[in-house]
Amino acid sequence: MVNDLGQLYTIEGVAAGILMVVTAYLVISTSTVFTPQETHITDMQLEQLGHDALKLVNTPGEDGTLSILNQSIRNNPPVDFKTPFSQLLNSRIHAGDDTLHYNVTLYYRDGNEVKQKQFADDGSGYYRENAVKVTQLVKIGNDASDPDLWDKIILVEALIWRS
Amino acid sequence: MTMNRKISHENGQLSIDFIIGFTIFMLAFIFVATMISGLLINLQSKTIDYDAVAYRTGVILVEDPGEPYDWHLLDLSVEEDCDNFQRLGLGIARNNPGIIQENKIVKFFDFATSGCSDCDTDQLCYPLDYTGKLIFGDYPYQFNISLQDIDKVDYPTSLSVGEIPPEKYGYMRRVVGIKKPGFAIVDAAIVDNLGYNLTIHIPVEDLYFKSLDQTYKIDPLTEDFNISLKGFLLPDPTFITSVELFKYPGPTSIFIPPNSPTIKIYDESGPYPYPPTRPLNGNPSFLIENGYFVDQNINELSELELRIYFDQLVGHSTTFEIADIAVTPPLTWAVMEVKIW
Repeated sequence: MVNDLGQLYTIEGVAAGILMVVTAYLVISTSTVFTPQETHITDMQLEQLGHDALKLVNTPGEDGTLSILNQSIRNNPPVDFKTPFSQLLNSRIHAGDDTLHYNVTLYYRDGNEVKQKQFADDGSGYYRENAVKVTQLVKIGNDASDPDLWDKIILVEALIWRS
Repeated sequence: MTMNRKISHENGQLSIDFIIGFTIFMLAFIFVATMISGLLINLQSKTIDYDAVAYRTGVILVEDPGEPYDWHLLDLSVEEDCDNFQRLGLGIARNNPGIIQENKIVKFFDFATSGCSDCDTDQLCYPLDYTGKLIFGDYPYQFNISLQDIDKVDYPTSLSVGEIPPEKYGYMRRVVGIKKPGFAIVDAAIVDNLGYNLTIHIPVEDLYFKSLDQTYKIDPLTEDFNISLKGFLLPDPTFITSVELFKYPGPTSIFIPPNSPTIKIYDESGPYPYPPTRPLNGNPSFLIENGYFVDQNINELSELELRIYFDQLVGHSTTFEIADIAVTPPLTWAVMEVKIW
């Protein structure tokens, strides 16, 4: 037997539908949904800053001299590299220093092999934070302290992330 | 327990009310579902837009020399110069992104505010020139652009243009190298016999092509060039009686105007009045301001001679060569922050 117990009246259905639409609209329009595609904006800022910083340490301060990056690769361990690179990444004008960290690896070709060498990091480990990679090329002569790097073109790759 | 169940013909049937209700729900659901993607674009567009505009502004400032590339030499109170001025940019050249020019920084952060309009004074007009020649777009963006060297030596307080930013804004930070103008130090130790005048030979070609890399180029045409005397023993009082500039072949005399861009004299007390009204305090230096050479039709192939006359025996009787001792200072690093809202 069909009676009106437990039945939804048409007018109530319409009201409920409108209520749902309005609620959904209100919820969506007041909250910011950050979809995975949009993280590239912050990634882009980080990547640009990292690229700027790595390029600056790879630019000689004066004509005819070597860049800080080049000098540090020659004279391992890279003490001369860490401070300026960290400073370039983290300096801000109005707020205090930023919290960017880095880990730099060198890649070079030895015969048919691509070898890699850990170069410098700022002491904080990388635990799969959202990170970007920036690179620069450096040419090393045959006077580096590490004979493995003599006469090599080195790809310097910096992994940069914000903690 | 009876196994006989009365079977109604209406059991298991959907009521018309349920069908209508369900249809409305499905329609509403489909409507909302299709609207969500569009809604998100609207929601996100503002912050994305501001960040994107900040990024674009940063790129134009840091990687572009502007249009024309030597816009900082233009006299913006002259209508023709003002009309030629299309775009701001601090870069030294298109091929050297990330290296900006100190003389452009000076002009960029020196602006007129109240009641200025285009082509009024030889200064940028805030905010008209910045929004029209740097930020672009129809939307009335507000902005704040700041610059400070990392060691806080050149700019102990940051240079800044724009309003105080609100809580939320589009943000871009760049680190750059600042190229400073070239200079030469004329050391008395190299001087052998004294005279009343000091003649300094300035082969612009040799200076200009000393370094082929734009980052280290000594460029007295678009940048300042400073010639300092060092270690000269000046009897007290010593006056500079005249400063003359000649162009070769000739020599033809080049006019030195009283107002900028010109050649300015400094000593330890600051600017030295010319014509002189007081004796020199310490060794003088001569600042050839950016744009002076261009105004006087001197190009990168010109050969010049700067003659400085004293009323005492301090100078050097033979011509002094400047090309070998001229250098550009090392690059300094700076942070630039662009905020748009």
